[in-house]
Amino acid sequence: MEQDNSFDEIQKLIEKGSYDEAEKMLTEMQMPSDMARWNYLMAVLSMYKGWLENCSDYAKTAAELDPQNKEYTEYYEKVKAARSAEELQRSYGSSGSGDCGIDGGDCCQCCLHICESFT
Amino acid sequence: MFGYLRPFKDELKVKDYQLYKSVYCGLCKSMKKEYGLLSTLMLSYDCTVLAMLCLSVNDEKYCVRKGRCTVNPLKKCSICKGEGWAFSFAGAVSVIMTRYKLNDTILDSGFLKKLAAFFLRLVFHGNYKRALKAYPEIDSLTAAMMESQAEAERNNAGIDRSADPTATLIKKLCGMISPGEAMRHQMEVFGYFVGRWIYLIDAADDVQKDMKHHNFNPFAAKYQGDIKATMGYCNEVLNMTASQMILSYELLELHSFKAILDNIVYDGLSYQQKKYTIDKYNEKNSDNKRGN
Repeated sequence: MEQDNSFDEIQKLIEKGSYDEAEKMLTEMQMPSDMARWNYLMAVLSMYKGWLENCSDYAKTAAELDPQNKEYTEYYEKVKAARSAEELQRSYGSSGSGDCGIDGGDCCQCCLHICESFT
Repeated sequence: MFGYLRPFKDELKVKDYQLYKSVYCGLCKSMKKEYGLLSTLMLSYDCTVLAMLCLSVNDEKYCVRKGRCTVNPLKKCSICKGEGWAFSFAGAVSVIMTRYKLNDTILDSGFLKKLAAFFLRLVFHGNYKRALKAYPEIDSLTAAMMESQAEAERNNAGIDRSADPTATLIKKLCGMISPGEAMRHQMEVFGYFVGRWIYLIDAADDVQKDMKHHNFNPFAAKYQGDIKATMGYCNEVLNMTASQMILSYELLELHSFKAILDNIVYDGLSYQQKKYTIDKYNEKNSDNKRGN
């Protein structure tokens, strides 16, 4: 119960932009009762800090620890979309799909050169 | 900086490309005026973008006039001239960054490169002193970045920690050119992801060479010699960085050069990314296949 309150407090700190304080509280937390939420909050915090690899790892762990939690799984899906360039293509307004599925360099004209096309 | 921030010419209107070139020539002229002809050797594409961003967010007045190329006076060109400090700032960044890059080459390279860097550092010493006097804060930020970068490399740091010094430097430079407190945070967030992307694309560009020579590279450890998997991983990490950069870019209030900056952020970076990850891998792969 006490840790639940701490998690709420940390979430508020992140929303307020007090990232250092939030990070300190999360890292000092002893044996979090809800590891999924701890990982989720670390992911969100890492995203704000710009540490995107950490964000990716924490988001994955949160989604794996509590796959029923929509908030965590949706967040991880967003992270995956950003990594696979789907989000980029939405930003570019391109009609290309996330993975054009064709090998070879030329296919990437349709999705602005980002999707993987290793031969 | 490294010269990865460039427009994707095929998608840029001719008038915008001419304007981009005029900013490049304007920065060259400004550097010549402030630091002398030799300093134009330090001119970079990245600093051209920095000058343009500075002109744009500060709504600085500028004019484009006809003139002659600094390096080749027989060639006519358009030259952009700002009324404020955008070109002076970008020129100082160019000079100071070159100095630190030369210091780094002297420390890390083989004899011939070391000798060349030592000679260039002597040649550019006066320019560096002038830039240092005008913008000491750029120098102290760069010095701190280099120290932090060296420490990250000594400790074989992961991607986030390795990219953080360059990202933080560009973040602070963008904060310095911000028009006021209201936009500073957004400029800094954008700068952070630009810096992170620049560091990571440079690491991706070098990863195959670094894996071969067992040099430090933040991408090298994860897939232990599997180049195809490593290049895919580089692409994923760069994609995510670019997507965050775009989100922050869209919140900036730009007053000029928007078509060019849009082109650089939306098309130019992705073109460079493809060139240094996918194309480079495919090229090496087909060379190897031909060799077999």
